[in-house]
Amino acid sequence: MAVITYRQALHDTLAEEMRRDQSVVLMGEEIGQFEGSYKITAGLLKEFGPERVIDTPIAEEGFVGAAIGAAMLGLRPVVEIMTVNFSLLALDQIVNHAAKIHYMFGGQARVPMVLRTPEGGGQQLAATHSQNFSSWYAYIPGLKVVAPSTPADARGLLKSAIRDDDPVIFLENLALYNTKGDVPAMGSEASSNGHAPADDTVQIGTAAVMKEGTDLTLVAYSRMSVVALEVARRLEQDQGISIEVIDVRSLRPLDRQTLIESVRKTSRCVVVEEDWYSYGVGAELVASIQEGAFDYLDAPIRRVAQAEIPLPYAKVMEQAALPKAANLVEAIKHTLEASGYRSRRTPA
Amino acid sequence: MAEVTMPRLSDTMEEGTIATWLKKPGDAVSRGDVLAQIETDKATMDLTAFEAGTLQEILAPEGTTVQIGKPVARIGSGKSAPQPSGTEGGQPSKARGAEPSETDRAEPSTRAAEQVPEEDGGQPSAGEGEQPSGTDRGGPSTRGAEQPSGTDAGQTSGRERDQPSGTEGSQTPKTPGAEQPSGMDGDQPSEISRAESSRTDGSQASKSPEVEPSGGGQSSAAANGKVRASPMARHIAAEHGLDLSDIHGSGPQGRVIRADVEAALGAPAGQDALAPGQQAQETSKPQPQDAQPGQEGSQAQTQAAQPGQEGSKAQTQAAQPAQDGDERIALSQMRRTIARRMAESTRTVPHFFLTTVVDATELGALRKQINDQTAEANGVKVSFNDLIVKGAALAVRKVPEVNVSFAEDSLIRHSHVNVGIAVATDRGLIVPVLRDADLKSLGAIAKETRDLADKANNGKLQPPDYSGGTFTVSNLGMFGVEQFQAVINPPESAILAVGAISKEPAEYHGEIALRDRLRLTLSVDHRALDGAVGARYLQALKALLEKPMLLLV
Repeated sequence: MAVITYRQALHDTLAEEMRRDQSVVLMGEEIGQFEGSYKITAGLLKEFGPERVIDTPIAEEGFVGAAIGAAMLGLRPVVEIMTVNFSLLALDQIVNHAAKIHYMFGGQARVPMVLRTPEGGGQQLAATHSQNFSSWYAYIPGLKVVAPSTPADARGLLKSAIRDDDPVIFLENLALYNTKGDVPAMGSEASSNGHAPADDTVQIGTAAVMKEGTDLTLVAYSRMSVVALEVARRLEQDQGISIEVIDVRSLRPLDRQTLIESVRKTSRCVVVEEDWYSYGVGAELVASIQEGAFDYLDAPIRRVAQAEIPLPYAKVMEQAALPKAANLVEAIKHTLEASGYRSRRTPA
Repeated sequence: MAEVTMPRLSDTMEEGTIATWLKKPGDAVSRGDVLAQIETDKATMDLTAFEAGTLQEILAPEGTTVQIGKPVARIGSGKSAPQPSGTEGGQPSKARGAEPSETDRAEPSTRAAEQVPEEDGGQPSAGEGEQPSGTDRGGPSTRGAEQPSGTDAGQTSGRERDQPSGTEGSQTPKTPGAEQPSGMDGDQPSEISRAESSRTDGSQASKSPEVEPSGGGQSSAAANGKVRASPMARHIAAEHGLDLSDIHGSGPQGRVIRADVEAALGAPAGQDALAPGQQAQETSKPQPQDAQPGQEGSQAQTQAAQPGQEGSKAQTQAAQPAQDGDERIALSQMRRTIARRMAESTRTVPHFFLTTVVDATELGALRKQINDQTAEANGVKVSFNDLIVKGAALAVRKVPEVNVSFAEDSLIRHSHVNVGIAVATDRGLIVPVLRDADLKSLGAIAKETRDLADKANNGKLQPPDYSGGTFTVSNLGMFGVEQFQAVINPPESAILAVGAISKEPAEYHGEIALRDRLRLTLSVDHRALDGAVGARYLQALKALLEKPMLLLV
């Protein structure tokens, strides 16, 4: 049991997995000498040496391709791409190679590679460095895509991702690195001696109910899950609204059942994402929910998302474009009002 | 110009009632669009369009009952339906559906706002520079998809809403009854509904072209005959047999929401008529074929004798004036169907009845053994009814003469043994059909029967679930009814009425012993079969049930 940052959880889990399994190697720009742009790999070069912690040239397509080849031949590379924005340079390798090789060549080789990369805006990094491409990757069969929101899930999903025999896109978020959370298994003997207990990993393809509730289901992933949970707690405390918060955390495969069951219970739903509104992950979530829970909906499902513009650099404008707690509260209230929540509560 | 006629939506359907029109005169219609919902004798089903065009005229208003094949509406070919006069808001309406782009000139403001989103959705980054101001910010492309407002309430709604409100409203095909496009509702209902009447959106041709009489403002729910209700509200209302149009909608634009339905349920009135006593409990169990078996049977007998009278009796009853405190309950389509078919059966089918007593002791022992060993693994218990259904089906196989339909100048001998199982529900009696019951294992019969009964109780049976039966089993045993005579379910030729199993002293291996005894009564259509065939059938069935291992091999 330990309260640590998301960053620390990633760092410690990488180190543990590398100790556990010699075939786990790290590749990426500035991850060795410089210890990573976001210091996730701090100290790892020292411990594991340059054969297992490899500083690559600034050439995403090249080193992602190299990692795919290494994975096919038995290593378990964990590639860091400095931000998701640069992964576009490696898109062909990821989409046309990593995702396809196992399928196109009679299952002769698998690609047990993890591609870690942070998404997200809000850091004043301007339009080209502040994007989310969750929906792009989640769209591709052959990839697995996870986007943990808590240190515990970051740990559990990173373990699962490294041990998975398919390529996994592991989406972090810049604004999450410093967030803290309980990581129950961390530091326990069982987990550090290489024999991790079964409950230490988080199964890819499962959503998490972060908080139970009965009046409305709030669905989110990655950073917005943290915001959603805060909003839900506050609304419950201040106004007695019971909101169930679901962290999707695995975008492909998607745990539709958990979403549907929740909405069948609450009859109301708001979906939040940091991505752009149109064609986003939220659209898929809403479609899945209405397919499975149509007869249980008492109001249209609402989405809250980023304004559909290249994210501005100016701080005020950047903040205005990103979805915030206030937007969430507004959407929740609209949804509740549209379904008579008030009238049911207040005594006649 | 094409006529839309009342389709045949189920085997037994002869007429249907227009429950709800989902399109109005002037609406554009694509092939496959749902025009209306039709209440048939068994379920509420969709009336879909086979022609594209414009709904010209509704010939059968909601609530009217129309015979199969009779016209209910007319669809014309025009693309841009001339809006029914007077419905247009007057201003920027311009039949949009017709010529998407030419109209711009006319109302620049509307068009500007409208086009932007489209382009925008196309290339978010490139085209962006344009200043079409706030409009696109929010979720421009979403415009077409309609929901936007509430949603981008997220961060952009403010902007969206600041838009020249007329514009906004006018392009959002807000239509009562079209349900989902309602995303707006939360926001500014009155404004929208005012504006929305003014025009329709080309991109939504098939859906949106509904035109609301202007000034309809608030309670659009019933104003034009459509009921705006949330899926949840519909679901609950359907479960309880409530008519949504009777319920006041308190949601946005008069939408009926769950709270409204629950309030209506809380109120004493409005409940569906329950047949007296009969379905009090145990509605999920397979049940008798006829509504009031005891009576019906005896009636049926006399009936066969003097067919003429029944009709007049029924009339006098109907005519009887209600007295103080009495309540007149309109017949549901289902009740109407039961009434018609049962009357028709007793009037036209000469019934005779054969009863046999089965020693069911072994049957009970076998059932216990089966359930002890398999119930857990299979997740379902085998009931006496399941055993009897299986036996009845096998016996039909042995005496296939029973598996016929009388068709005036011929007999149709059925190749499959499809056993109908009478189920009493809150709404009335229905007979879902277990296909090829003779070929199915007891476990499969148990499971399917339970599924069908659940569906029946939830009003979810689809025509294939209750059509095509060749023989019916009706069971009142669970109510302690010793024996009864069931009314044949035409065009079948026989029905088996199953009584309760009770302990009785009986001869057993030369001595008197307490044995489980079961009375089975077969009602037979004498036009199709004679007494001896019916007797052979019962003999075969009795043999199967008394040596029940035969049901398993």
